Amino acid sequence: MSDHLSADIVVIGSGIVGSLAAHRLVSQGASVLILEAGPRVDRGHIVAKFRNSPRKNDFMSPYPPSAWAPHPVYQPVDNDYLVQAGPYPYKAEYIRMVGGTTWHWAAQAWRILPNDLRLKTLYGVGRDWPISYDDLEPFYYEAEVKMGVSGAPNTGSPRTRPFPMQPVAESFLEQRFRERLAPGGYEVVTNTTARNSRNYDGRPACCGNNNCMPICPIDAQYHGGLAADAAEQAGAKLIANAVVYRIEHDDRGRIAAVHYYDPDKVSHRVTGKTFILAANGIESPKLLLLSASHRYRKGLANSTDMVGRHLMDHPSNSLTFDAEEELWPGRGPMSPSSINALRDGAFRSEHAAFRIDISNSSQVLSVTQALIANGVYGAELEKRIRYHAARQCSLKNVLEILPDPDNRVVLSERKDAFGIPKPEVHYAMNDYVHRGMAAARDEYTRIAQLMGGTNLRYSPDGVYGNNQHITGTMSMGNDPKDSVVDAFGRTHDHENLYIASTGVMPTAATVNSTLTAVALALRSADHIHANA
Amino acid sequence: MTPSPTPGTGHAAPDPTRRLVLAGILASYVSSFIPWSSSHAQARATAPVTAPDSFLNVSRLITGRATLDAMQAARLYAGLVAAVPLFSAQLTALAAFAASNASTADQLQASLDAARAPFAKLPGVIATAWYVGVAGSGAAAHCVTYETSLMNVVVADHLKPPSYAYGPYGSWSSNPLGTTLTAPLKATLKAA
Amino acid sequence: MKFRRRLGAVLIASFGFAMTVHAAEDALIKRGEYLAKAGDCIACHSAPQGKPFAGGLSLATPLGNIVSTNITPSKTNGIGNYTLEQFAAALRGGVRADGQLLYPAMPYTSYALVSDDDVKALYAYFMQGVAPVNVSPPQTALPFPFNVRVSMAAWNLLFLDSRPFTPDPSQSVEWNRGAYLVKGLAHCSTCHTPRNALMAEETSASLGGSVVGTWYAPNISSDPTSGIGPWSEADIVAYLRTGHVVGRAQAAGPMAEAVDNSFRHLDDRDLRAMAVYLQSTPAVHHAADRRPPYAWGGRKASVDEVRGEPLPEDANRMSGPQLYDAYCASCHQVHGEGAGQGIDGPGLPSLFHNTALGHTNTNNLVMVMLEGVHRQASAPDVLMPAFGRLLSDQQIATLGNYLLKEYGNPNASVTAEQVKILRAGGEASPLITIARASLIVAGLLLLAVLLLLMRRRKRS
Repeated sequence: MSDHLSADIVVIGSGIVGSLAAHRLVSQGASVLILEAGPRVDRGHIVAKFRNSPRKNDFMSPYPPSAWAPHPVYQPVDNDYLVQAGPYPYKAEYIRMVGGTTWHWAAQAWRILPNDLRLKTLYGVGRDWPISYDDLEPFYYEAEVKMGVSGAPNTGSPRTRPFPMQPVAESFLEQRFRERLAPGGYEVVTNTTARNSRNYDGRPACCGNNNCMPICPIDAQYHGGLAADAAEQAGAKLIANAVVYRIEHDDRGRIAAVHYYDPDKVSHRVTGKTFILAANGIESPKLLLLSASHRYRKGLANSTDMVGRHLMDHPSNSLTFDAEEELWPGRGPMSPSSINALRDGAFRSEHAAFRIDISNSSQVLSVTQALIANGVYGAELEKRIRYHAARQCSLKNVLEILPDPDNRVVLSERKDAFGIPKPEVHYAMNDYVHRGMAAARDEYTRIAQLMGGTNLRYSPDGVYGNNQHITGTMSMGNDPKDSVVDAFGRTHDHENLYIASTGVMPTAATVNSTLTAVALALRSADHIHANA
Repeated sequence: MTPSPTPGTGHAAPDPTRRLVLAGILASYVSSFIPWSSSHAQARATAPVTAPDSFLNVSRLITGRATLDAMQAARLYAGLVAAVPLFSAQLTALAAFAASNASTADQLQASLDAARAPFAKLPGVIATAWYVGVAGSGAAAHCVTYETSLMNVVVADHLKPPSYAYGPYGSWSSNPLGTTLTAPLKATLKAA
Repeated sequence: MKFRRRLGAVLIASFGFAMTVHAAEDALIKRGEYLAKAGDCIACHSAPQGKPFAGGLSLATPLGNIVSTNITPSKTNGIGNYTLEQFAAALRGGVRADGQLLYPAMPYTSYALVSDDDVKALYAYFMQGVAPVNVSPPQTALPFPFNVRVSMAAWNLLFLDSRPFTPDPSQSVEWNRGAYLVKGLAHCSTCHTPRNALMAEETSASLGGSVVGTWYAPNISSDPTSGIGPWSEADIVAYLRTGHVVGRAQAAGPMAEAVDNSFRHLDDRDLRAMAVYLQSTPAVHHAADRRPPYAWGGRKASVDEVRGEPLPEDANRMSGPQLYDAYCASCHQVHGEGAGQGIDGPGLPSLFHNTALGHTNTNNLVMVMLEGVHRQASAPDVLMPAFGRLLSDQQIATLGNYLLKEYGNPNASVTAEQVKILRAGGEASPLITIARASLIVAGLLLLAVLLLLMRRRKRS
């Protein structure tokens, strides 16, 4: 063992959630140390890796994992890091590098709806949150200012102050969807995103690179790399390539230190007063389980066996079709607008709610690969590439799966290069999801009709995509019997251990989780500061 | 003034004497001597060998283009040879087949499938090289071109290849049929 | 009754008179405000995020930092007690109300040309149109001997021409207006004219280009190759108003500030007058310049050469095309052609036919990579990010040389040493050493003379 590193606040994980919590605390005068398992990365290198990639539709290809901090890789060969116990696959992608997974997101930065926090009371399904929307509202705004968020005015999420900037300019495709769907009763809404519609925070406005995933080449969208940088600029110390493998407690159950390996597997011990675990919804429960001790045999923060349980995501189905007019997707941001009508309602007692996402990603690559696979060559190939690239549209949903204690993350018997047990996921779908997916399919059909769509191609029944919105595994609640952290993100079992993650969300809601996780983390940071 | 970036705090990449890294270096050094190995990095450092006529003829058939950029053809050929097992032999066979059947692009695949040719997959491989810019598949797949890949050239009046700015903020709001992006991307140098 | 009517009439008349006076005062203040914009007083006399004209901006000069003063009408911390004469003396003569001399970082050598009428208007604006701020900025403290302001008297004797502007009767009204603005309030020569060893403007090379700390203020004489000779009047006006002309140049650094704070506020007539004058200045030619700086380069792409190549382990060994691919091509595009220029604004500029890559002095190319291009609200979408934190000195040198060969003037070059110096704020001036050495030498001479005299005395 070597080094004696110490700080008031030790943050495990430098993703957007951990870094923004760190930034808040260091700006208020605390000494803050961030430990990141993976390496530092440079935006230019990621851009070059993308352009040099032979698999440009694989958003993980510019982010090869390091040997000491592996993350799941599925293409071209599955690296079997995230062990799938089934019955349903949970093939989440995440990035263990400084800045974390939001290097390759589409910057969707929605607030959840007030009703999303009261599913049990209102609809008799799922569970209620231990806080109200109003508790979260001021922290939502703080997060929106920090990240540079804009959106349409009427999304159903109340706000006390306007967005920091105007919504991003619509592409032609969006305009036509909006115009053609209105007579059908659909309101097409510009997405709430952390994407600049003007110069903001020293970063340029969007220039339509249409590459949000896997990397915005110009930082027009906010991401964890910027958050980590801001935390460091404000005085936080960040140690990269530091794989935390054990959280150490004292005999009163308070956290005393964490231990990490450097890439040469030399162990280092870091002490602190308060610890924030922010290593995403899979790596965080893994670490808690790994830290089992004589006194805490089931792992830390796990006296009631809730750690890792209630694993959720937003499964997706989709429809691809050819619109009847030339729209040319690929001009502007990749994921610019939605239909929000089915995010809430009495039907939630019966089937899942969802948001419908209208894609504006360039279709050129997928169209070309499909045509070549069908043996189309020559002038005909070029003609059809143009024809379909101009018209092919894609709809998908972001659907709310309910918390099920048997959907969970556990430690696998298989180990990584450092001998650390890999995470293993147990996951299943149920009829609540399938009925929701069927309802979504009906909506897609109606939307395609309104767009004069032909050549409709639905995703296979029962086969849903994973959106890596890793929620539920360390749920917040008032009752320790069914939760891991309290309303402030503080673990019930250890008074100086907080969790800042999408993993604390007790239900998934129907929008991407990042802004909510950041708001919760800022609220936790506020609590830490007040009780320092 | 911002100082010249120094390596960030934190631990550096592993000690270069670690066995794994050494093995890796050794492997790529050795494989640089094998022209048809799946290691491709060394093949690019010098100017690629000119593509043979068989490749150019077959490429013209598959792309339907009478003229193809010679440098691009050479790069794609070198990439295919490195990434696709038995490429040269299969190419020769395909060229002969196409010549003897007076194949056209429209019936090429059908006739290959009907004849159960062992090289039936090759046109798709070559088309992928020209249009998608990728040689080979699976773990051996290698990107040879991107901006000059024909799929991007074919739509360049309306779209940029993803990751390139479309234009200043808001420029994507216009009707694409009323606007054209300035001069489409041209491949480099002379025609084949 | 008569008396009342008369009183009423007098009151109305005096009220009307007061209104007229008010209106006249308002008009004078407004004119003063316009002239203050022409002189760009705010650029130096305001600190970033500070109150307007309250001073506090630290100007890095080769002699050390000179901090601008509070010129709000505060009676305790500003110029609130200045008379018109004292204001004029400071503005045109470089003398403070307390008799101390100003450093010529305040361009009083240019403002010396401002007319009496304009001084009056400026005075009215600064006394009545600016909010007083009762806070003093830090004092300027230059190293010896420059902290002794009396040394400025000798400098002024040599270099201050305090004659007011006299129009040239052989030239048009428009030309004279342009000359008055360019040589006076707009003080273009302060940056664009090279300076001699004593830091005074070299009038023989007027507007011939000069390095101001780090950024290079180009040759804007009428020379057809080295200067802006081929620029049309419309080009010059557009550049001053917007800070960009497609196919020529875009403003960055201090010139971007000058456009944002000053030139874009001037009316069309004044900008045209300045253009007319600028087209007539004596040509200053540099033999090294073979083409106008905007005339270099063309569409070219090298990305195919590196496509599919993995990046080297050591980032300092990335090649020019690799650096371009990773950091520049997203906006400036594969052929260096940029995108969307001239639709609603400058768009994403082309790299060829761009003075940024055409000048023989490559400071601006380096500076724009280090600091980017930042404009204020008048150009809301103009933003080139800074790359100083992403790229090392070596990478900027490699990239700079690649860009010059590929899209610009292949005879110009960038070195890593140059990048390092520019990051640090520019070359240190030898002037301090020279001045101190000269004083020591002078002192020794004086001592020698004294000793000689004493010896003589002893003998006699």
